Amino acid sequence: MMTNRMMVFVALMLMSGLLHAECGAFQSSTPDRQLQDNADFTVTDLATGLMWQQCSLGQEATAECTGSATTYNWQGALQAADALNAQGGLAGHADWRLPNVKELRSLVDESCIEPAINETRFPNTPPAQYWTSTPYAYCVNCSWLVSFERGTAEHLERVLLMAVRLVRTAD
Amino acid sequence: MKIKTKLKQHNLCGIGLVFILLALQACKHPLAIQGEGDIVELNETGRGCTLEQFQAGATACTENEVSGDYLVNYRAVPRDGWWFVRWEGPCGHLSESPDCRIESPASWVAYWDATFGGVEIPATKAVFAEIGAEVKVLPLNDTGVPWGGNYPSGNNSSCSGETVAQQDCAHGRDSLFDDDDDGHSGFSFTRLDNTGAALGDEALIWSCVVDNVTSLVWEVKTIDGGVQDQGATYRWGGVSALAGAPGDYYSDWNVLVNLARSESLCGYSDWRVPTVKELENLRFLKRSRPAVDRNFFSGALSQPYWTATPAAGSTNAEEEGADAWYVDFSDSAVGVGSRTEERRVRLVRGGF
Repeated sequence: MMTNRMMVFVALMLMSGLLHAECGAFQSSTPDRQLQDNADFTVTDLATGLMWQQCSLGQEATAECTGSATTYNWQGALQAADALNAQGGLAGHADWRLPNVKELRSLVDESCIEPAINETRFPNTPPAQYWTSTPYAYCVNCSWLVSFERGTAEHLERVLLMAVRLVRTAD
Repeated sequence: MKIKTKLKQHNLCGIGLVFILLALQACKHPLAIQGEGDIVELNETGRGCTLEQFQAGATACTENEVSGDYLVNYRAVPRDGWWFVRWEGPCGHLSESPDCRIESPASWVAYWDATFGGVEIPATKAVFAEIGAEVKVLPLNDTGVPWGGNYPSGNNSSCSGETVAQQDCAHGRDSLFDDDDDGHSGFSFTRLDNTGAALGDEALIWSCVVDNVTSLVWEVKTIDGGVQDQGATYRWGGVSALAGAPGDYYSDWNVLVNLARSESLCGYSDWRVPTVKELENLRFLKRSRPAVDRNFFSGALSQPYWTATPAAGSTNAEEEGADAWYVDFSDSAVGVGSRTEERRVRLVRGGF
């Protein structure tokens, strides 16, 4: 009985072209009520006071965040934040920055995988590695990242290409 | 030739005296649901009880007759907006795991009836609660990294480097409150004695530490070989582990949680294992092993520590083994690992 229901569900998802995150066996750490959609392609996390880009850099500012996230090495990621601000920023703010590792980890929803994020608030997030602004202490050419496949915080070489989502402190 | 058996009541288990000629009298193992969710049978034997069936009083729930072997693998699955709390009845010993395996071969049914003269089996009940409406505030500590990195390689001793205005060291509490008065960099801690009274810097002994940024109170581990010793390790899944994630829950750390609660460590009795978001907030990523301020957390080790947070996506939990989240204080990584691994635990309570 459950199998039939699951098969129909997966078939519907494949037909609609959207395979969503697996979520929900236990309490979400970033439920909808905690993530405030500001209706300007930014989302404020009421638990931490941080405001996030709703779509990853490179995706279109649409309700579904259409398109692919652009990937950057660590230098490119740092510079991309400056570039966005120089072009006028987003939603009337020009003080966006690359999140540090604690900030980016705070966006992870551990009750979901692939991606480990609340997809209602952050649609079309690839289950990919995202750069943070934090260099790693024990490897001189590594920095911290968060992988949104499961949400883990890891450290890898700065030359690697990863996606970017910018943050700012909400007023 | 049929031999009739005497049965005491209709819903009790009984046996035939002659197995070949008699079917076993059906035995009832009722299923029940509190709140909103389903009891799903993973072996697809056709058993199980959905919320709608339960509300309609379907016999699949109220009776669930068994003749012969009763070998089932139930999973409690909450509906949207609800979460699994616990089992009651025959699965009630299982702590917070939503999975319950029952193995009652036919011979057990026979023994039960012969020994106890037929006993009504209590309902196997799954209890679900509605997800609350409150938002749990958890301010973030900074990372404690005051230096910058170069591209593609190199770390500096000060906040300089590649596009440094965008780097960690240029932002946050570390850059605003860079003193060592009450914790390295932007951290702010207060020591407590075992009654919960705040102590000053001169204290040589303390029992707990308050993080003034998050308002969480942390257990300080000991080196006395007792229950709170820094060396104690446990498998994952005892009291205060987040319920509902498929896979095994081990009760190893109950001895620590129960002691802290019953002895009112630092004057509090609501101790629990921290969620991953709470524990990772303690990490001090400057260059420190362990990656935490040892002036306050004197018993800390460069080891992985469990959190209350299970890992998602363990649909093959039985074959692959289920995971849970830990924080590694040797390199500050935050990851998932097997629940059977023995890791350390630092208790917490409070928060906003």
